[in-house]
Amino acid sequence: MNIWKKFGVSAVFLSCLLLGFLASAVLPDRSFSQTENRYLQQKPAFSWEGLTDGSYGEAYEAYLGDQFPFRDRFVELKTAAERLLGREDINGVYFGKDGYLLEKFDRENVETELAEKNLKLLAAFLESESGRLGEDRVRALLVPSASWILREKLPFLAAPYDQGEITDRLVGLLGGSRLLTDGEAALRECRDEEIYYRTDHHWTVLGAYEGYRAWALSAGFVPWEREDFERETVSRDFYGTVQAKVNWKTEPDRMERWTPGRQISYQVFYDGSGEDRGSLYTESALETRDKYRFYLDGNHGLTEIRTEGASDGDGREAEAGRRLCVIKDSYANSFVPFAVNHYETAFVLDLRYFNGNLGEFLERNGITDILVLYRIPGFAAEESLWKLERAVSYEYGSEVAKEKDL
Amino acid sequence: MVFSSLLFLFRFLPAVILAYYAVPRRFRNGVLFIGSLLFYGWGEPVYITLLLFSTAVDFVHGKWIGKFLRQGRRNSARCLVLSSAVINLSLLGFFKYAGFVTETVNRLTGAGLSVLSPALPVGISFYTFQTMSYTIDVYRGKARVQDNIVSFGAYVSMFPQLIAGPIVRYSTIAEELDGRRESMEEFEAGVKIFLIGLGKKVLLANPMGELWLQVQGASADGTVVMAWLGILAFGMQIYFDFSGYSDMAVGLGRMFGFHFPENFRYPYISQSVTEFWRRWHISLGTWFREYVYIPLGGNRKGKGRQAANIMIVWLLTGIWHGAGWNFLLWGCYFGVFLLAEKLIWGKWLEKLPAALRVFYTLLAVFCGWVLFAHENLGEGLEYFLRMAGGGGVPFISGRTVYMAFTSLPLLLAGALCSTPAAAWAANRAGAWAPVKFGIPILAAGLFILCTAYLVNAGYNPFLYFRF
Repeated sequence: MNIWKKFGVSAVFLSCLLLGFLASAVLPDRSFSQTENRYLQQKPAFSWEGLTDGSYGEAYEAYLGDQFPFRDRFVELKTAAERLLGREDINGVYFGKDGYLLEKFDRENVETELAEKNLKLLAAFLESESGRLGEDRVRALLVPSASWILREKLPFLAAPYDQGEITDRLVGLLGGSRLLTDGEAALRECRDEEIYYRTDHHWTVLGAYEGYRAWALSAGFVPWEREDFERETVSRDFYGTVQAKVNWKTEPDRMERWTPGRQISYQVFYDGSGEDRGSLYTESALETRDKYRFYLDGNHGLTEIRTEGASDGDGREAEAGRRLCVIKDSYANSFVPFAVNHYETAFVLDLRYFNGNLGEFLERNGITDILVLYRIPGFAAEESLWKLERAVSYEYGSEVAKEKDL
Repeated sequence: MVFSSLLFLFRFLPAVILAYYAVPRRFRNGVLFIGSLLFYGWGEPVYITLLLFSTAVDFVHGKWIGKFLRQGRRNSARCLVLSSAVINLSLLGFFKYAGFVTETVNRLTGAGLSVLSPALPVGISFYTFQTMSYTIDVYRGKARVQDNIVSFGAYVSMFPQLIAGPIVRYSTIAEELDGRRESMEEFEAGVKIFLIGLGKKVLLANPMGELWLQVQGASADGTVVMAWLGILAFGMQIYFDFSGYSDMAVGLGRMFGFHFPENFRYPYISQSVTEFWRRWHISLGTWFREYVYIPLGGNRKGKGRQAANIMIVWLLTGIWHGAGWNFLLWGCYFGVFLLAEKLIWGKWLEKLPAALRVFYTLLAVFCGWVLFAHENLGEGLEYFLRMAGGGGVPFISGRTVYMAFTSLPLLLAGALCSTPAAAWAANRAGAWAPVKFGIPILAAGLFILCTAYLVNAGYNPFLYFRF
């Protein structure tokens, strides 16, 4: 006992060093981390060159960190310690009430130079397209992220950035809100329902439905009612991106599919391929970690959807020749299945992966209706919106002229 | 390599401890020397040559100075001291200040010199000061000439204090270099000090640093309270970072049988700025006193000369911390405070209650940190303005309240640990048998928690499915 009191700290310390050393030397290396969704650093090959320029040392340190024994447990321990110390957000994620994990956005994350540039690009695009297609035919729907809508779920005293300031700025640029759908008001109204996932940054299918409804009403057509769909749960163990950022065990999310209760069928073509996938959903994604890919097969540069039996909510058949183009981020993936019920043909463009000339595309496909749909923080950080400019500066009519020449 | 890394804790340290205690005593300095070179060279192997050069130069200088002194040729010896100082200061000058100087010259004269900016070799400010202390101490007869280049190399490159001090003067550990006695009691004491240092660095300094970063990032939402919160966090960060590193160095030294001087003695409880500098980075202050202030005449040549000497020492102290105008200004700021306390308000400061004196000192020191933290003077002034509520900055906001509320436990822990209260309480509790029995368990817990923080730093989820 005396020895323990005299030398216990040394004994414990040396044991820890040795255990850590042995465990990391003996335990097998992992190649992939499920929680982080990335490949882990492998043991670097030794070379004198690498040693002298420091690259070997750097890789070795990364290797040691990535392959540290019980790594995920240590990460959890740190998170637990920080929460115990009163931290309410870690790694940009709020630990909210009722098991909600919400992304934390502050002014400097959203109000960037890029955001200002994007707003100007969007305003110019909306103005030129509404001038061409008509004011009822063009809408933008900017959706606030969960932390601004579900303020009741935020931890004590949290003061998130007012994402409405971005929409207000757009209203200012456009000189009015006639081209905008007020997503914030629509979502706020049903904030007591599950409109956002607890572990992911997306809205749920219900949230997407409310966004769709608001869009329909603002563009002047009749949306389908909730009762017009059969709701089914397709997964009960969905852990999303926000959970991955903190690796904090919470209850998994539930994913839904809403199927129209009327006679309707879809042909779905991805990235210009002639192969019809026959469904708006990718069942196999439910077996992977990235379950959100279930909706519209994740992000494709171009998706074309042809709908047999499209109609408005009041049962009126879709007007022949109307063609919708949705310019979007992944928030639209669960939204588009509602929108396509109104159009015989719809195109979904993700500008990050779409490299054609947007103006030419719109003209060639005879687009009559446009919706721009983004999540506000994503919109602020989006680097591909310069492609909108191509449509603004495009000379409409040149495609038609070319065809006449032929 | 840094102490607060998995590489150091789980690869380097066990290997060195094992090698050190496995070999006979006469080889131990060799183990330390080689280990230190590996430690130093891990990040930038190129600069090992610089370290070896510095070692060789001062080793040879020392030998010759000793020889000349034995022959009674004091003037020749003096020349060699000068030459050693010139070489060391040139190294430091080139690698640390060349960029700053050329840039300044360009700005003042528009000369258009190409701006030199060699990568700063880690720890150069520390080891050049150490090697200079050797030749000077030999010349002054305060230290014997070191005849063994391995022992001398071990002194210069000693990894525990190589990169962040304390600055150990040669005379302090000359005897231990060749005649130290390691023991299990010393080792145990060393581990305890090391763990406390590691905890300060990982559990306090790093989170404080994050808070400071948050405040800096939130400048568009800045408020008066947030600015004060930020500079408080910065001051805490720099204290726990620096003193944590020093503790780890002292602890490691003890594990190998060395006794390095204490570097920080609760500076934030000082009752005057003068006292603060006796408690903050003590080894640097001692170095400047021994090798600059006293040789310049100290306080023995009249008030005017003393004032000049104080200003010189503090300008040097400032510029030692970094090559930038803000550091120079920071040193000047403290020189002025020291003079003022000596000549103007020291007398009636003493009449104030202790709490007020501490408040005055902290106010002076933390305003100083604003200068220290902003290399760009304009930004520093802007920050001052915000602290003073100028330019229409709101006093407080919801975001400020949230920030303060969620970091309150951290700030309280920081405040507690920067006074002797925490150590006092720990010692009192440690005297109680059950607690004493549990100390090794607590130490293990502390170490595991630190490891978790270090592992977490590499937790880096790749969210390719983000949007």
